[in-house]
Amino acid sequence: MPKFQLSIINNQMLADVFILKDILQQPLVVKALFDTGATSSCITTTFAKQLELIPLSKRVVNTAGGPKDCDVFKLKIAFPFPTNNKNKIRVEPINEIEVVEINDNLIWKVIIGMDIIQQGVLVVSNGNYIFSL
Amino acid sequence: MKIITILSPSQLLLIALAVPPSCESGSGISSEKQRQNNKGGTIVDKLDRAKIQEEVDANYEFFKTQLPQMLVTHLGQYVLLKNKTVIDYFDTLDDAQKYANSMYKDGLYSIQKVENAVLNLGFVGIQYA
Repeated sequence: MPKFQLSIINNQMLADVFILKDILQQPLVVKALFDTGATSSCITTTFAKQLELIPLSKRVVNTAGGPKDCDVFKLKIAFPFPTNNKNKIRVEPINEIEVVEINDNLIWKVIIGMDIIQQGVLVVSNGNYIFSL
Repeated sequence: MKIITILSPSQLLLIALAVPPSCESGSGISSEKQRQNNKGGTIVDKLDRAKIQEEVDANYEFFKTQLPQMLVTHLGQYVLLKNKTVIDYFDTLDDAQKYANSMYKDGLYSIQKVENAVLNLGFVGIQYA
């Protein structure tokens, strides 16, 4: 199983992921936050607009202000994993997933929720985390 | 899985990758076909997106009124909606989407899962939702 190990910064598990928008376009590299408390993965509003995603449905989401109806999009994500060769990376795409639209954040554009995390192995230990698929 | 050569880790953000978005990518899908509305992140003009958003919003309002009945008869299934009308129920989202894409080229439809669950985005997500 390919895996990467990164440091936990400010108690946040952040990683670069590839967003595969279109076969004709280059993938985008964005910062993603691993959140084991999120049952679903999310995308920020501005980034969803940047990707020109169109909503597939809506879902009720718990917010600080109570339940709220949010748009749901489909998104293709891939994870870059290091290889033995420093000049090469191994890109592992995962199946297209549904992501919920949330407000913008300055640091990350995507939340990796349990729908993705459960497809792999996430180990948190001693200020680092390891994710493998 | 693809092995991709890069010049240095710092150039990761700029690298041009030829990663297939899905298994279908190797099947020679033409660019014209990619431009069809399939709600999978392909190219849609702005007018269509606005219409689709309206359609999804309207269908969702209708869906909420019908949900109590649907929960009894179609719990866990996916319902395809168009013009505030139930088209059909499907066991999987992919099935519903494939059917919808084949029937409605304009992309004016929405697919809702028949469930009563409220999505929990955790402490971080709840602040930004």
